[in-house]
This record gives sequence, C-alpha cells and structure tokens, in this order.
Amino acid sequence: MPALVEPSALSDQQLVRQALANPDDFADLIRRYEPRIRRYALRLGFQGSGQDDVMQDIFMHTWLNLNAYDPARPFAPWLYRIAYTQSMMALRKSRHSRAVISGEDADKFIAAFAAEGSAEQTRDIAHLKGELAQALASLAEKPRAVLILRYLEDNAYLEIAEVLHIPTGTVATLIHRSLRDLKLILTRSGVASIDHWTLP
Amino acid sequence: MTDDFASKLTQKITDAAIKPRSRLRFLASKSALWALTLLSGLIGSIAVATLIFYFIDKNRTGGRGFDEMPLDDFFEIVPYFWLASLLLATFSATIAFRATPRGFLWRPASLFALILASSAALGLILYTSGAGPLLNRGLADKIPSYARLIAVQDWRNTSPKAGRLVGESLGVTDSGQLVLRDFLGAQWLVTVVGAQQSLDNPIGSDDDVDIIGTIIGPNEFSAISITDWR
Repeated sequence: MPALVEPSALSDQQLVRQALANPDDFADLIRRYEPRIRRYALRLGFQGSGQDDVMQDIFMHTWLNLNAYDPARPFAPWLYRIAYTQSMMALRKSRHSRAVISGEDADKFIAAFAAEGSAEQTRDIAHLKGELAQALASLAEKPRAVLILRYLEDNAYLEIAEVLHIPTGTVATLIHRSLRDLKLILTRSGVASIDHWTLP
Repeated sequence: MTDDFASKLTQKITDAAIKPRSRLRFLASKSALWALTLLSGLIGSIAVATLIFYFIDKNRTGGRGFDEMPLDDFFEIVPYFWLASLLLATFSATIAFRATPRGFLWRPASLFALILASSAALGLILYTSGAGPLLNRGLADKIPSYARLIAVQDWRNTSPKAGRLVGESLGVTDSGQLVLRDFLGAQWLVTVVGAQQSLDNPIGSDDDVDIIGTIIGPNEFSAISITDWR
C-alpha cells in the first residue's frame, strides 16, 4: 500500500489530477487557494454573504472547468482568471459592493510601488496611507482589479497577462492607466504633493 | 473557516454528483475554433483568387462578369462570405491560439492582420498555380452534371452575331486562318491577322479561345481580339 502523501507536499498539477480522480480531493485544492482568493474577493469589494456567494461561484466554476486546465501552465493564474471573471460578473450585477482596502494593504501597496517609483515618490506616498486606501477602494472595477493583482497579490506582468488574457505589453499599459486614474483621484481629493509624479 | 468552506463545497459537489465538464468537450470546442479559423483562411484565399481573376480578366476582356462562369453565384458572393468569416476567424483565433507557451502574445488586431495576409498569400498561390481551371476540368471530367452546367454556360457565351465567338481551336489553315468549332457545334474560319492577342501560349489544337470581332461571311469571322477561354 503506497504511503499517504500530505497535500501540502503535492504540486498544483498533482492536486488537480487527484481531484479529477476523486472529487473529495478537490477540497485540498480549495484549501490551498481559498485564503488568497478570499482576500482578493474582499479587496475587489465582496464582503459577508456576498463574498461567500462569489467564492462558491469561483470554486464551483473551477470544478466544472477543471478538465480545461492545461497542466503545462501554472495553476494560480488560471484560477485567478476564473476569480477575476466571476468577480467582475458579480460586481456588475451588484450595486452595493464596496472595496475594502485595509491599512495593511495600503502599506503593501506602498512597499510594492516603492520598488518601481522614485525615492521621492515613495516618500510622498508613504504619507498618504489613509488617502491611498480610500483612493484604491474608489477606483473603477477594472483598474482596481489590475492594481490589486500587481501590487497586492504580487503577480508578475506575465501572470497578470494570463489572468486577463492579454499580451504583457497591454498589461503595462493597463497598469500605467490605472495608476494615472489613482493619481487623479488622489489629486482631486486635495493631495497636491503628487502633482509632479511620473508614473512607471 | 477555511476547512469549513472547502468541506462544504466538496460535500455539495459530491451530494449533487456534479461532474467536471468532459475533456472531450473542451477539445471539441477548441478544435471547432481551429477548424473555423482554417475554414475562414480557405474561404479568404478563394475570395482573393477570385478577385485577382476578376481584375485581370476585366483588364483582358473588358469584364465578362461572373454570369459566364461555372458556380457564378458562389463566386459572386464569396467576398461577402470572406468578410463574415474574417470576423469569425479573428474571434475564434483570439480564443484558440493567442495563448502561447510564452503567454498571450497576440492582440485581436494582429491576428486579424495575420489572417488577412495569409489569405492574400494563399489566394495568390491559388491563382498563379491555376488551381481554378484545374479544379474546373477535374470536376467536369468526374461529374457529368457539372460538365453539363459548364456546357450550358459555354453555349450562352457563344454569340457570333453579337460579336463574340467562343470555342475550341481545331487548327490553322495554310493561309493562316484559324479553324474553330464554337460551343454550339458550328465550324468557323477566323481571320486572326492584325488581331490583338492576349494568350498565355500560341493557339494549338484543342485550345479553347474567346474571340471578339465581326461576322464577315457565312461561317467566317474576323477577329479584333483573341484571349484564352477561362
């Protein structure tokens, strides 16, 4: 009898194969990604029962389409693609969603942004934690989703391209536009210190 | 919380016996998208070959129109089919092969241009390789009803009184006149001296030719221009 292997020791591809062979094993795949996807849903604006509903939609959709997953490609962007499309669909239907960007998220955003922006910009933005969280939350759905993928979910351009099904060059353009929108919101809310910023 | 959600959802899946969609279904839909892309490329190349033929033929004969050709209805509408299929191909190609091992490299606009260019290139190859006449002859040899259809269209084009003689060359007389049997079966002596000739090769026996000119006597015709028939 073969020794039981801990799910944490298995790769995503192995977990997918196991889930297809035995539906109960799908729980291992859910457990691995649920915290990340739940956090992503919260950042996009899903809370309470709305969040549970969208989480169920995402993982049910994942289950139904599991045979469409190509094991030669990474699993996370494939799952994020489903999470992204299901969330966007749900957001379009719901008029009451409100994105939740915590102070911790704002810190993370600042740290990630610092890697790309100039030292001066980083210093400027570090003072704007509260305003930044608010501005991020009030961005339109798509630019917010793009910035969350890049700066809060730590996805590389190539991974974002996989999630959004667009070329990497277009991802760079989208991020630039989203940052421009964010800058506009901050400027409108009276934050004058970022007027001179040039965006990455 | 995490365990709760995962267990509940898996339980729900098991209880309702919800199964993932079959791999075959995804393969079939992907294959269908590929087939649509290829079909569109093929329709596009036929449309391009038809357009090339139309413009070159118009230049040579003054424009015969498609009514005189086999499958005329098809060739008249093929460019419209092409436009529709181009959009369809761009859509299916966007889904079917823009994902490459190195990520998503193709924008719909690039795919559109690629399909357009490959259709144009393949159309040019089809035209220059003479695939149309070859197919026409092949179909006429193998399918009697198609041969009859061509014959009807050939007859329609033979109207010497209106200044057009179309038929098969039987040879050239010592005095240099062309002996021709039109598609209605009548034999003609055609004066070709001084006529403008647009022929791929010198006229030989069994060649089909299209002659514009006038009747100058009983079963005698004087040519103004001579071109290959089809």
